[in-house]
Amino acid sequence: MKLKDIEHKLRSEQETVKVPDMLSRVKKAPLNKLLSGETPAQAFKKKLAVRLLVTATVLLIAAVFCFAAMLLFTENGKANPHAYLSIKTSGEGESYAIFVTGDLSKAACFDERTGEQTSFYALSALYDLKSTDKVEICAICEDASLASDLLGKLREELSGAYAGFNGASVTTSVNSDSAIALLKQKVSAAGLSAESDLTKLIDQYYSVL
Amino acid sequence: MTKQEFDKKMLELQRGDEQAFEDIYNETHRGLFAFILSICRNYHTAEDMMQVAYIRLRTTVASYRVGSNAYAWLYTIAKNATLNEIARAKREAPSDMEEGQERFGSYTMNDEGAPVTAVMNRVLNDTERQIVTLHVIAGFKHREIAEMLDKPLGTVLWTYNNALSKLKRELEKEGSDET
Repeated sequence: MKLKDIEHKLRSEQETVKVPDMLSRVKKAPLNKLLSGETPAQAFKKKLAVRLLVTATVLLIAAVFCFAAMLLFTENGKANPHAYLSIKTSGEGESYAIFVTGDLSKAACFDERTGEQTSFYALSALYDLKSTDKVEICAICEDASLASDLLGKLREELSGAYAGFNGASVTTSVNSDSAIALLKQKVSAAGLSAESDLTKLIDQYYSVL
Repeated sequence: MTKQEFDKKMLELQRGDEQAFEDIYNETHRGLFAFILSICRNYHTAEDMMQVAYIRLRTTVASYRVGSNAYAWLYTIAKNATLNEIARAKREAPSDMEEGQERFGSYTMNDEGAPVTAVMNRVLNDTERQIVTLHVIAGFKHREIAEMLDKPLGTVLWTYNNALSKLKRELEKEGSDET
């Protein structure tokens, strides 16, 4: 037997071997899943992981939005306040306006001189109160009993937060005519026609401060 | 298909021409299948590896540099995929498995009616089988095979002639045994 015969036989034998038709299979193969030859199982796991990641991200974003909305609602006082409390100190001549919502939680606290929002626990004029200083607190609210209630709570908070508060002379009033007149004056100074209804008046002041 | 024609088809495939892929497939599938089969000697594994090779050809065609040897490129993809699969099967094979079973699987090659192929599978080693397959079945020149397998031309020629001599001896021995 010649070597050529062996080559010829081998070639003719191979021609009878059934070669699988891969063309249709390769064409049908979802290339996006099988890129770089990864198996469908690997592709499935990857897809599942991506889905879980996307879901977790969406949930996280939603949670962040909800949290931010809640924070905005409570801290920045975007909900209309139902009462207005003002604090004046004689020492530094500073005054603060505190707006509160119906559920008695603080809505916002402003420095009335600058109009800037501040933290309730950072009222600089209350830090170094002396026994000779006077503090005036006035609560204005359509519901007078709610105003008294708020006043009591505010005194409690201030005495807890500021050591000098208890030694100072503190006077309180509820819906006093002079305080309401002053509030109306502030609203008018901002170019608005002051409402006689106290809730509306508070809203007006809140919107311009 | 000449090397230049194959190169042109690769360029067309890079541009997204589906017909070029069909032409490449029709030109290469028989030789490529035989080559893969000569490495793994398992029909089903060869089937899978051929699919992997063509999918990789399609997905990595952008990285092919026109002007280099496209045949060698495709065969190298197939060879690497098959060797990886064999290595993977070997790692995952139970320790009590018979020698060679992890490589060839439980499928028995059907060499009935193909005596020369049967002898080739039995007596030739891996390298000899690959060289003979590439030359006789896929139709590559010895110089091209040397390039593909990264071996000196002299080694390829010597191995090829030695493999055919082995086959001749074995076939003659079998012929005399039968008579």
